[in-house]
Amino acid sequence: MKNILRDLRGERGWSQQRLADELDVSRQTINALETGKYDPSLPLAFKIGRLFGQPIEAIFDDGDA
Amino acid sequence: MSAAASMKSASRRYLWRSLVLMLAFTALLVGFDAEALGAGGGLSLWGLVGLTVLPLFLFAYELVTYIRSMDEMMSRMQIRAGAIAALIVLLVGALVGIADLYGVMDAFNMALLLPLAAIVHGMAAFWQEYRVQ
Repeated sequence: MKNILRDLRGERGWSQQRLADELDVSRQTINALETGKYDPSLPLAFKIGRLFGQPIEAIFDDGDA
Repeated sequence: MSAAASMKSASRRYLWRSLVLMLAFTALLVGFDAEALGAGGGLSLWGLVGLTVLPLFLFAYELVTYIRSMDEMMSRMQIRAGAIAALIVLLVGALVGIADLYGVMDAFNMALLLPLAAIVHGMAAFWQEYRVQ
């Protein structure tokens, strides 16, 4: 699944570690999310949406839209 | 405590506890060798079996606690690595069993499947981690 997580993180000037700390996950998870190797669970997707103040569908694209 | 720091501490705790439990398991296996078991009565054998299996139960508990302490992706990776290891151990066990049945090879000490499982699990976990790097 594609996402704009890297762009959102870049806008804030955060490192992967900083974002990982904000979301209470590991840095590897952030890296896997950004490179599209891992799709987050619904709770984590909501957490990401809340953190960046955007709806889930604005951050993640399942390619069906 | 950050996720990374808490996971590091959980990993450290899991590793040393697993080491102690596996050493206890091996010591019990070596201690209760076939001769010692042969000398015991039918009822006391179950006590020995229970005692030998206890470290494995504790290990399983430690493993579950460890996996629960991780974030969702890392725990999924570990579960997948465990499933790969279980599959390979089952395949090896089945192949060795069939080979033994047909007299192709001598009887294999199934206790050796445990270190094999540990090695395969380690390699599978490493591979899973490498994939997401």
